[in-house]
Amino acid sequence: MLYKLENIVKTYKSASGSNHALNDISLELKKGEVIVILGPSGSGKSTMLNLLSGIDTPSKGKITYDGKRLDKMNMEQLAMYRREHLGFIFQSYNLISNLTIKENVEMGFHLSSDPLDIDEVLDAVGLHDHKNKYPYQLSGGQMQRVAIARALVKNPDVLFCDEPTGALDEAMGKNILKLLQEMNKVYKTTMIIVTHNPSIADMANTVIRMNSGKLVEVTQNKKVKKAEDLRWA
Amino acid sequence: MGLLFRNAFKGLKRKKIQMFGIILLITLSTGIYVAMNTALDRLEDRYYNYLEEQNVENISGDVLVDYSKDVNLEDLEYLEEHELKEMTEEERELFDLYKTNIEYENESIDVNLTTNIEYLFTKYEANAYLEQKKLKPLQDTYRFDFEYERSKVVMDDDFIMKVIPYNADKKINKVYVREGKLPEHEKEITMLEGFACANDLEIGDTFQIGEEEYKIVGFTYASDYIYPLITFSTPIFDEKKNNIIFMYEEDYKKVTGIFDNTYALRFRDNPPRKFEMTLSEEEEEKEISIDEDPIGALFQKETSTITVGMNTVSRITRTGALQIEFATNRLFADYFLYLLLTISVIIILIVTKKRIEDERLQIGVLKSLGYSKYSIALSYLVYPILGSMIGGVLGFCIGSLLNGTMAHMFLSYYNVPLSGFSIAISYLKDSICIPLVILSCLSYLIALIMLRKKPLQLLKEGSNLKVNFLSKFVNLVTKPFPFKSRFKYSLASRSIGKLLIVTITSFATGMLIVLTLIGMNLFSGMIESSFEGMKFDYMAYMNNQYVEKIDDEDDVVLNATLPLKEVLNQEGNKKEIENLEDDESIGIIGLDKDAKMIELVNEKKESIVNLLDEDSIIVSKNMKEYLNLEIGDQIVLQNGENTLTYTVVGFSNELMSFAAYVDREVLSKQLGYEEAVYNVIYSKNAKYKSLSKLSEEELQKIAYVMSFTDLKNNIMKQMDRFNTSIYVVIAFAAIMAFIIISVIASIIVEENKKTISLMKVMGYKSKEISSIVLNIYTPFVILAYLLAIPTMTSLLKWIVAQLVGDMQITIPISISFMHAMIGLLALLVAYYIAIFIAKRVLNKIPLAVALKRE
Repeated sequence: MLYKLENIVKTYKSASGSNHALNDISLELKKGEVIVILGPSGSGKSTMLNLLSGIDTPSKGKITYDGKRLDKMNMEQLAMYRREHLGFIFQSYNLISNLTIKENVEMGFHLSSDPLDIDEVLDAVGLHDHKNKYPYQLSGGQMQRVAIARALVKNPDVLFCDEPTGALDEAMGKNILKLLQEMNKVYKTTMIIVTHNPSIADMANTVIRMNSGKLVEVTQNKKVKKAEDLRWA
Repeated sequence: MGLLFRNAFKGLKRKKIQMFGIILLITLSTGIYVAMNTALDRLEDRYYNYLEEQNVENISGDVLVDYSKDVNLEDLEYLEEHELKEMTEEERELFDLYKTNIEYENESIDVNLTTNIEYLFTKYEANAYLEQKKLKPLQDTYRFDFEYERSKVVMDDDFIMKVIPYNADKKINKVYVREGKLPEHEKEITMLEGFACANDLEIGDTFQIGEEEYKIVGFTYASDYIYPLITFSTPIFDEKKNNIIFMYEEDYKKVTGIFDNTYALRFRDNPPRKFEMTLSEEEEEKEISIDEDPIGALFQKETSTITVGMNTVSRITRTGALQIEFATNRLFADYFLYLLLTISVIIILIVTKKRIEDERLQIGVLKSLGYSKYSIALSYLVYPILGSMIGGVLGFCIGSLLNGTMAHMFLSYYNVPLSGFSIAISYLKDSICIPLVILSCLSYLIALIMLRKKPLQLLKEGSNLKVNFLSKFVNLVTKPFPFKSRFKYSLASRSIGKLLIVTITSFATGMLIVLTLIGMNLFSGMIESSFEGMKFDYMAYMNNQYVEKIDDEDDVVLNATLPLKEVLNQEGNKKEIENLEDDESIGIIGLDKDAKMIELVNEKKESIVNLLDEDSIIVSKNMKEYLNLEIGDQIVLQNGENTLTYTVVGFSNELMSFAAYVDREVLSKQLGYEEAVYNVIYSKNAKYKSLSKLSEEELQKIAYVMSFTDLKNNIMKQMDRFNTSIYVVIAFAAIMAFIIISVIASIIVEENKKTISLMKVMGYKSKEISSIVLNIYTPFVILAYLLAIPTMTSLLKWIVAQLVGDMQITIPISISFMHAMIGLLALLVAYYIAIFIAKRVLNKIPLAVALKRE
């Protein structure tokens, strides 16, 4: 078991009162799987991502990663946890415009104590020939590939993807998902994908459906579809 | 449109440091501008009114009497019955001899006789009658009144004082009573309030002068000593040592001191009326415009009668020095205002550019809806308008409150009564309007330029990602560097503007710091070098030429000033000298070869005085550079209708002085004396420090004493004040650098918010993030400062080279390694404090920013 969440509550205070972004969530996540967290806007899926990745801490409850309590860690320990174990892919790519593609990937390379080879990773995402270009010279899909390479070069245990296809069209989106599937197979990296696109759920091993801060259901897909076969919503 | 304005106001809350920095810069600039100008307005009004109220002189001068030509029998008969009634028998014999010469109209009366007669007349103040006899006929021609100003310079171990007999009928240079009353009885005196304060004296206390005690009855100003320059031994006013005392006439006669009598002339019309002069052909060639300078015209025409002699000390310094302060300080106030406003403009430009980049999508939408760039640009006036209004008002208030302090600061060396507190509302308009107009216009212009992109370009995704040429160049150059360094310089090169500002700020701060540090070194270096070769403590200037020495241990010289006719090269051809005035004169010093107290050494420190013979001359380093002299050149001087030609045989290694040295005996004979004469004594004898130790006869002969011990102490004491002000300037420069760098650092943090958040999410430590994002300018700051050192040094050397001829001194320009490091430290402290503050903001950036969708 990679993650264990027990009675997790996350409350945000605002001028109008308190808001339960997550309300008594308990679940377990296995290592090596593709996990999709699905839900509409405001369902609490981004909050779930924040808690699992150590970006935020729960108001109540326990989160355990590989036996270690994340909810008991301080800011520096959480930063180390992210540094050593996690990779991130964002909807808006978040590439550094002044660095070349290779240098953007190097941002992740230098954080890891056991990184992958930069050129190999660039090759794996199909951008080796573009390594000396700048982000402004690439398409949206290419930029997202760079972000994936940056995350993967760390050789993380878990890869968090926050709406990785949100800014892409169907063809590019499927390409990215196909890449993620391949990385999962090759590097055995656990993938946690947060999305509102229900078609992506078909490529996951575990699907977690959320609504209004509550867990609606957790299902295991008996048959996992290939990314290129997904019916796009 | 309203959206952009609302965004602008909302953004203010997030950009507190930047807005605060802009307001602070505007407040500082307008505050100093208002404080200085209101203080100067008050002072100037008061100063010019004071000159009128006290009827301050227009000219202070001596009247020259030629005892062989200007005296007749009627004069002598008058003086015999009045001023010279109490002559001794010996004096009477001398007088009779002189009278006989005058009676029989001897064409050439013996120089010794006239010299001795001059002593006699000075002793009994009979010379005043003759001087005024020459002066009176000029009164109606030039329309002035005059008064005979009598005073004595009294020196003792602790004080240098000017003692003046109080005269209630005085019409020119009237005494100003600050507190108390004027002397009405014997043994009563008044003095400067500053001196009293510095020496813990009050009205009613007693004060000793020589052997006598006097009661202080009041504090007064001598209105012709607005800057109390009493002697050149203490050129910088030292209120603990320097004093001006008014006393009763009878007490004045008994005080021992060097006579310092002069005439105060005041024109009847204000400004002096234009008058016609008949000039000879020669005079017309050198005509000074009467309209522009009636004083200069008077002296040009009447130099045979009136002159400003050394012992009268410069009128310009005493009464006019404050005018120079006014002019320079106004210039500084204006310069400072515009300098800080320029910096504010640059910061606003950066903020505006950032805002436009951040809002490019909204701007693109507005433009595509049909809004013109002119109306969109208006929303970017929020910063300059708010900054100017708030900063201007604050600056005006602070400046108004400080103008009193500023006025007193300006007056620290001057005696002008100042009272009252004033606020000049007119400056409120300037404080707000000047920054408002400058900042708004320039901001609007820049916004228009930045908004020139078409709507589609603005709306295009990634349109803000393009990399500039500098970034590409930096990436290329830093390829061999480790990743973190490459990342750092890549972020720095993202904005050329910010890089330029930080570099220019560091360079300008460095220039200011280096200038002040060189200044510190410079004056102490000059003083050490100037006094190094001096083996004497006193120079006693005689009021005539003498043959017999007073003391054998002393050295004596003959000073003369002769017009320079021409300079010839070794072949005897005339040399063209750049910037040489038509009526240039040079000071010649006749020196004995066995002089012990004056060393003439060359650059190798070898004595060259033995080179002096019949027609040889040794010149100072300054004169060599000014006249472009080489060994073997000839200097030709005019002496009446004759010329004197000397061959240059050596150059003396002095810093101060613009002089040339010849053999004393040779010079004396060339000037028409039968024997070697002198008119200046160089001595180590302490009797010259305190005039009460001089005999009556010695006092009569001495016109003026220059104490180099006092001069050195005076300058060194003021150096402490100067050095303190240097540290204030360095601190000020560092504070300015801190403000500017703080603003830039906050902009950098804001600009890189997403990158910072991303790095936090990825697991970078805070230290790593701040090292990459914030410490990017450190090498530029250090490089800029290091560049400032040779730049300022070269600039100063160039300025000094221009001044050599005018100021007749050589100034060593250097900065020690230690001082250079102190300056760098000051700058780096400011830089790192600014970075530290920005780090605190950086640490607060939430991780969730990276997750936000655009």
